[in-house]
Amino acid sequence: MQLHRLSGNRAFRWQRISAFYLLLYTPLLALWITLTPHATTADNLIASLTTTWWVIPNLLALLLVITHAWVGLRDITLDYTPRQRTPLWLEALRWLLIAVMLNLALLLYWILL
Amino acid sequence: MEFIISRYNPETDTAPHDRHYRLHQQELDGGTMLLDALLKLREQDPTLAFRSSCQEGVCGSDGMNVNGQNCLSCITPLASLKSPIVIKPLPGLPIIKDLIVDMTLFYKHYAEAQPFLQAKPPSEAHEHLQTPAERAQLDGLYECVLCACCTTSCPSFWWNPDQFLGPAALMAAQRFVIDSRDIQTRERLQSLDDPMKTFRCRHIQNCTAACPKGLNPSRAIQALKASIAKEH
Amino acid sequence: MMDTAMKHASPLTDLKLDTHTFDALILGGGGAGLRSALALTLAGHQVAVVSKVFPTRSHTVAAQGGINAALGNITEDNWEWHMYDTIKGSDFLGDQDAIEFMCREAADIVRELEHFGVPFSRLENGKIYQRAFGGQNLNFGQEQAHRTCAAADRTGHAILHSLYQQNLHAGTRFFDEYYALDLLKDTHGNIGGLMVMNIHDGRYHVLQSRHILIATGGAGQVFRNNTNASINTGDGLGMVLRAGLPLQDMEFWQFHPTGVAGKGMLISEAVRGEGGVLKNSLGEDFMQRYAPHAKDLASRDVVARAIAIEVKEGRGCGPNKDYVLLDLTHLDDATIKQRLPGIRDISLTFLGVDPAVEPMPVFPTCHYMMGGIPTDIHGRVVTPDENGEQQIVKGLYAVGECACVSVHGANRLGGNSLLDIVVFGREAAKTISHELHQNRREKTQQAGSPETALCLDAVRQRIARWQNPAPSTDTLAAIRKALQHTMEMGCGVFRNQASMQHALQQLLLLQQRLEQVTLSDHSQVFNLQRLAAYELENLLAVAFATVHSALNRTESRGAHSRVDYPQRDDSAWLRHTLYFSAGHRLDYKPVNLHPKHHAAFAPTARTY
Repeated sequence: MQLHRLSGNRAFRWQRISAFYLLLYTPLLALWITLTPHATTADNLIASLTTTWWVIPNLLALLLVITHAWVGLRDITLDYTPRQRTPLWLEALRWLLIAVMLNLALLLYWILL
Repeated sequence: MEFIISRYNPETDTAPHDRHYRLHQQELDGGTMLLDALLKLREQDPTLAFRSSCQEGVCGSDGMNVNGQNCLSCITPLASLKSPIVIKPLPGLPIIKDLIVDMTLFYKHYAEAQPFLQAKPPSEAHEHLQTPAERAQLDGLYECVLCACCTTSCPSFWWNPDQFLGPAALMAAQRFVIDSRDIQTRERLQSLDDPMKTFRCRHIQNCTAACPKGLNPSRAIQALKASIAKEH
Repeated sequence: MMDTAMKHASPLTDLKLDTHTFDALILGGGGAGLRSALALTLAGHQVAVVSKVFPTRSHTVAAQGGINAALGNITEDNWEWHMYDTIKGSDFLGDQDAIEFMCREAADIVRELEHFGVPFSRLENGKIYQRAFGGQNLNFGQEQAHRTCAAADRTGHAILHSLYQQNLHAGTRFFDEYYALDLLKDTHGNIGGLMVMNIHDGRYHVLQSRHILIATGGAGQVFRNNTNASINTGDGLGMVLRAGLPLQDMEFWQFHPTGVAGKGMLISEAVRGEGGVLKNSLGEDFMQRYAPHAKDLASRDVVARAIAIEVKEGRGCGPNKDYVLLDLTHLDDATIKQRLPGIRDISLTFLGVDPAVEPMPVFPTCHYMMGGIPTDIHGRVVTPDENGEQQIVKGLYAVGECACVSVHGANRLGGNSLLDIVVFGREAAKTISHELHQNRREKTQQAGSPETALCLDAVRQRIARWQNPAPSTDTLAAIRKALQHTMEMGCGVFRNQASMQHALQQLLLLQQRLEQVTLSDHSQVFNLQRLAAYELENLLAVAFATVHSALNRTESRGAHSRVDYPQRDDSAWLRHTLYFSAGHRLDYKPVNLHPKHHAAFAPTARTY
């Protein structure tokens, strides 16, 4: 990946959007879990979180967590890695992202179907 | 009072080393600022090199790192410093001699921020009008003295000194982005939309803590980022 | 061109003197130098600015109150009233053609500065804010005028930074942290270049140019208590004297009425412009007695003398009764924070006093040099020939505090120095640009005329003199201190024959000491001791010029107040002093009383 193709503003905006969403989502999620009386096992919890009107917000949260983490990891790479290796690290990070997305797609396929 | 001052003479030394100095309160002739002490020490040791000019904190010559904090020596009261007073050059820039650093990079970044007004073609008979409220937007931005205390305390600058413009230059950029008279706002924001130039700032706030003029570069950069985000 | 004597004398210096050639050289990166540089660069000339500090560290940055122009944004105003005030302020010693020129240009040049980006404070209608300042009146000496355009109380900072920024935009070439030693003449005696030292590595370079503009600022460091930066050592004045040219009106030094007592930081006249009042130990607003009409906003020399008299007569404040108080506690906090933020900072930092709560201790302190290198209104340096006629020195220009046009005469009005630097900075650039165009035309006609060699002997000797490795017990710091003390005692706010004669004797002793002292540091990189030596030579030259000029002027005029000659004497002394360092010779020239667009103002008694 070429350094000059990296975005500044776009990454910044996604980081803020994701942060804003997670800020609203996380307390709601916590509240939901506390108020769900039978969520005592992982299976129950997953079941309650895959109810139809929780699926979309959860998925969105997952995607935005990944986005947020991606921007953060990218920033750390830009800041800390030795300059000549930065493109290599960014490339590795991109493949990691692709792998995570594939993994996620598989997981969803398995859960939903 | 005890001073531990980092000394480096490129003609004889391979690396900076510390030297201890002592000074009695009476020797200061009533001087109360760190600069007064340094000038006294220079009388004892004329080879001690540091920059200084206006002696009242407006020229920005005498930035240095004192007890771990960047400051201007002429407006830093001795009474506020714990002895021994450890004095080092501003971090993150090449040392030329003793407390004097090479500020070429700092000035280069400043120039890169295009810190000059680009307004509508002026009429000779009139000033550009600007309301007091529009003018007030510049307060806290235009007062910068280019001492580099902020930029050299910024970890983002230490990490990417050649590419990240640093708080002083970005604050100068913001000063012109926000100026109601400037008509190049869009072009300015476009050129600043860059992950290295601007978005390396992580709002660590060292700049704001270091600014001897009490300015807030971090907030200025935040506003700058918001303007860039709004522009797109 | 290199002689062997130099090689022996300077084993350490790089002998291959790098030579660079420019259309024009500007010496000094303050407001005057930067305004000229901008104009010349924009006109497409090869121009370089040589400055011993990074340009925004120049002392223009410390100017606080503002810049005068009859914009009439608050009350009706016109340049003729400004002209009258300036002439009266100068105690009629200012050249009326030059003052007229400056005041006519003022409105235009302030608008130009605004266009350059200077963040002036604003009025509700969006125009530039103008404040009241000392010695400024409407209608030829009637009500107080609001003529001083201000960017809060950081006008100099705002102007200097804006000018530097515009130069960045234009692409001006800078030699930052290069110290200029001396002017170089060719074998015909024409100005042809400049010897400079790169402070970073101690190497000497010759910068060649047929047009050299000196804008090196003041020399307030000759006095112990001063508002000046430590770099204000009169370097341009020293080199002009060494080139055999005169300095004009060097007896006139402005003592700013309100420096921080005992320390010297400037408390701007803007404080009194915004309503601040001077008080003595009895709590009395004593300026009413000295200037019943203008009170605290009388001319600076008047206020400074009043304070000195109050203290002398035992009505000073503090344990030693050695200062008076500047009171603005009756102003509201918001006004102070908005209009005088810099002053508030200085007061809090250096006095630990919030000016909204407690008054500030102040005492007169050396602030500004009215004299300097004599020039005409186009910035060209002039010197008398054998017949006493003023002749232009080809290729040499001077503007700003180092120059004496003379627009300030015997006393400068607050807000006129920032005006002076930009008006004459621009004008000198126009003159140089015009001459460059003309020369270019001539050059093409007589192509191939060889450049004549520059004479380097004198400056080489000067360099070699400080390379003497012998140790000495005396130090530069001690001599400089003694010099400052001598000048303060002998040539301060009040002077007399005895005090100045004593000072002169002391100066002669100091000269001997300076000839004997040697450096203990002979390193090359940022050798500040060597720099201090060059500077001290200039300071001493300025001190001699001051004392000799002052001794001979047997009257009191403006800032030159002699206890033994308390009256102004227009019949004998309505003329400018010219001082030459060779044999400390003095010469005189008449004051210009022939403005072009307005009738001359005849000298009258000066009351405020």
